[in-house]
Amino acid sequence: MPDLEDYSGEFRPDAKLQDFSKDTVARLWRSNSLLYMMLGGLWFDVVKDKVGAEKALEWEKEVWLKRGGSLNDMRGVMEVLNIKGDDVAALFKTFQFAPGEAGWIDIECELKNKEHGILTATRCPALEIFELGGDTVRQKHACEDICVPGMQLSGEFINPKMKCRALKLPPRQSKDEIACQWEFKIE
Amino acid sequence: MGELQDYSGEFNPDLTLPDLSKEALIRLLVGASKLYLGIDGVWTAMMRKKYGDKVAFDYDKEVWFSQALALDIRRTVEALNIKGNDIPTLFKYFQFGPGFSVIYVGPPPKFEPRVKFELKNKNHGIMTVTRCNSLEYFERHGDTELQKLACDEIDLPAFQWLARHFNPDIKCRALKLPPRKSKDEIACQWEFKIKT
Repeated sequence: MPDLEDYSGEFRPDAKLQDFSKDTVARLWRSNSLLYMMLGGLWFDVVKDKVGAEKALEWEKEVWLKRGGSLNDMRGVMEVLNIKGDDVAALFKTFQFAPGEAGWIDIECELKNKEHGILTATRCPALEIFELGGDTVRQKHACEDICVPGMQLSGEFINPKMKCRALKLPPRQSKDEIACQWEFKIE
Repeated sequence: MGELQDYSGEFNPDLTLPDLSKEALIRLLVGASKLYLGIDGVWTAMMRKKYGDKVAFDYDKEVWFSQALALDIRRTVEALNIKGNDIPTLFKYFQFGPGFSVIYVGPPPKFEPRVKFELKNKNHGIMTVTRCNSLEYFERHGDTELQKLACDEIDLPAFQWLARHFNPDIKCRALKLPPRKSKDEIACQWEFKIKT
């Protein structure tokens, strides 16, 4: 039987993931990666409604930086794709398939050498949502309070000597600009 | 370049999803789906520490019933072009729901489904979860409170809510729920029926 492009046909009690085409599995991966990132946002909204924005911001940061949010994202990909190593190339290989990175953000990775590389987010749905709602507080929090230390944590996870520097962060003047840009370097 | 079974080789800046084998893609999909439920677990665990079980569980229910379940359906049926309002349609969604059947699969390369579906007819079907990662976690940690939250307070109303989203006349009934006496038992079993 040929690979299914979708599941518009009859119900099959024994249908399995392998029955779908690669395109369809990839589509589901993107969809589930987006759901994963959105669920955190829904938690933020509920907590904000109950106890206020200040606590919600504080705990969102705790989830990603202190309770494993950022690193779980990397660990899983490294395990399923057998990514090993302690250089910037290993980090970029992980970002290319991490649900919290390429799963929902358009990224480009430029490796200068194994110890130095530039990561560019050309499109970030979270930034677009914050821009649409004029939510500068949440944007600043996500980009500066979570992403800046989160990127450093991710780098250190691969190699404790890796340093991350933000080359460009939001806000941006126009939607034609990139979302953000990061330099990773092993010193 | 042939399909990659993993990414143990050199970094390639142009590598994209189609360059990976189907098995590698499925492994990624299962991993992303585990993260999806996992981030809910991280939030819930943190709120339990800060506010106690009741508040944390109430917040968790609000997250799922206010928006998360609807989003879960919308994105899955869109990605797979699933349409209809009968039990086969509901089961098609359940078979590939990101927080459900997609993570309840056996190891690669078979990814054997651990949720089984028996369709009696278009208006009646039985769904059986033969093995449940979450239940095994609760049993391993002796966390009966979290098990009760997940199975009784979230799954039971969630399955009913999800079914009604497809068709308001679908009724859901739990035929078997945890706790279980032995690990050889199934995790849970559910009946879905449209009254005609």
